[in-house]
Amino acid sequence: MSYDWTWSVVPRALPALMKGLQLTILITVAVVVLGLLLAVFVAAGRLARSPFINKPIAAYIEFFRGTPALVQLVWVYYCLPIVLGLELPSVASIVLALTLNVSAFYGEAIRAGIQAIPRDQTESAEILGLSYVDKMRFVILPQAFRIIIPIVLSQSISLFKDTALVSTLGVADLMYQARVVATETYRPLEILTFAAMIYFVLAFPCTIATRLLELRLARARH
Amino acid sequence: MISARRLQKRFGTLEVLRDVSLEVQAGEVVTIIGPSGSGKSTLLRCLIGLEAPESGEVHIDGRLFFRRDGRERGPFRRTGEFRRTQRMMGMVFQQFSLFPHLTVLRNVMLAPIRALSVSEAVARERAETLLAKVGLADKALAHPDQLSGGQKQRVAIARALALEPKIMLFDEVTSALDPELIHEVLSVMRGLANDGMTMVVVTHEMGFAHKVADRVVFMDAGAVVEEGAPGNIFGGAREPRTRSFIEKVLTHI
Repeated sequence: MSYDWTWSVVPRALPALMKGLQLTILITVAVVVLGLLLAVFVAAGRLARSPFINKPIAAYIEFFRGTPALVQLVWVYYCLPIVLGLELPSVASIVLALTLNVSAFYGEAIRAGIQAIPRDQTESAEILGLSYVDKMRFVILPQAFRIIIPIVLSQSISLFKDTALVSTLGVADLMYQARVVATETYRPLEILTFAAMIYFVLAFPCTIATRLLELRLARARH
Repeated sequence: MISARRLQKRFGTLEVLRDVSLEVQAGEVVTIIGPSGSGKSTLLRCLIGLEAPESGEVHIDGRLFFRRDGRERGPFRRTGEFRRTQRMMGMVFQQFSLFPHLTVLRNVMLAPIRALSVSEAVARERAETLLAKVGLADKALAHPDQLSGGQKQRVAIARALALEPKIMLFDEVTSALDPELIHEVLSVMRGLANDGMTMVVVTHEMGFAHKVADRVVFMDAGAVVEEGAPGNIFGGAREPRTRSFIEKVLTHI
């Protein structure tokens, strides 16, 4: 027996799905921005000479990379309020969890980009009398960005898709709305397929653009 | 101008410098020769503070640059005084080490603007003068990867000179160059020497060591074996190790 697709439910579902998409994009953008800010400190801490700084930061990174994002989300959502005795709005709580998560990945990308710059660049900057900040700003980071940007972009695309996890916590993102509408209309195949297409139509061009940028940066001589 | 005393440096169990001392007078050109792994480069890197020896001390222009007695660990603390003394020296490396994302002009301008707080206009003028001096005025807006090895090395020299150092250190600056490009770098160095720059040159170019240097230092196995006027070292060294090294490098042709 073949399934009888009824795509006509999609237009009716569209307003709810678009509302969900808005929240998905909002969460993604917020997490990317906050995650990058935090990642700068994660990378700096990871590169710090003192073991009292770099060891705890390394543990932080490995913890967030080594546990499932869903577990982190659920933990921050349900457990953190009990531990801290502090009730966070649900969107704030999932943004917090995802920010901590991606900061570990972004932080590692930034660290790797910085460490990929040959040591003679650092030494030249040093004997030319540049301060640490100037060395980073004028010599190391402009070169490291070429390595860091494509990695951060592709991780951000993954994040955009992974935000679907928040639907399990009752946050009304695209995935959550799709499940609600699917139940209401008894048309889960159409609705969920359409939701998947929305994710894909947004993510795929970004993936292509990232790949092109990566090629250009690799070829760019300056 | 440089007074290095009893430098000891080890990498793990390998003793790279064993009690090396070196005195260089103002305006003197000293070349350091010797087999690979003899500690020549490490000595230069210690002189400019890129490598921290376990013990020993270095004075630059009468000022204490650093003193270590074997109890300290790790790299130098880069105090303001340390940086000011370090800036009195310029260094050029075998691998050029230009900043690949900056134009030739910007490579030369960066340090004066950031480290000496020179104005953009003054730094530009100074950089253009220096590039003209090394024969690369027309390459100011090129990027390093558009240059030949010899040109890159001349930019590296101009960049080091932009901080108006009193001492220039050269670490095998012609070793990575195609043979036909070596002379253009050596002639810039010869010009500097004629201008009275104090220079310490680690090199395999025996012609340069012979003709341009005031003094030749021969190192082997982390120690200074012998030093003297080029005529004496090349014309009849006292030490058998020096003689055999010179024989080998001069007869390989």
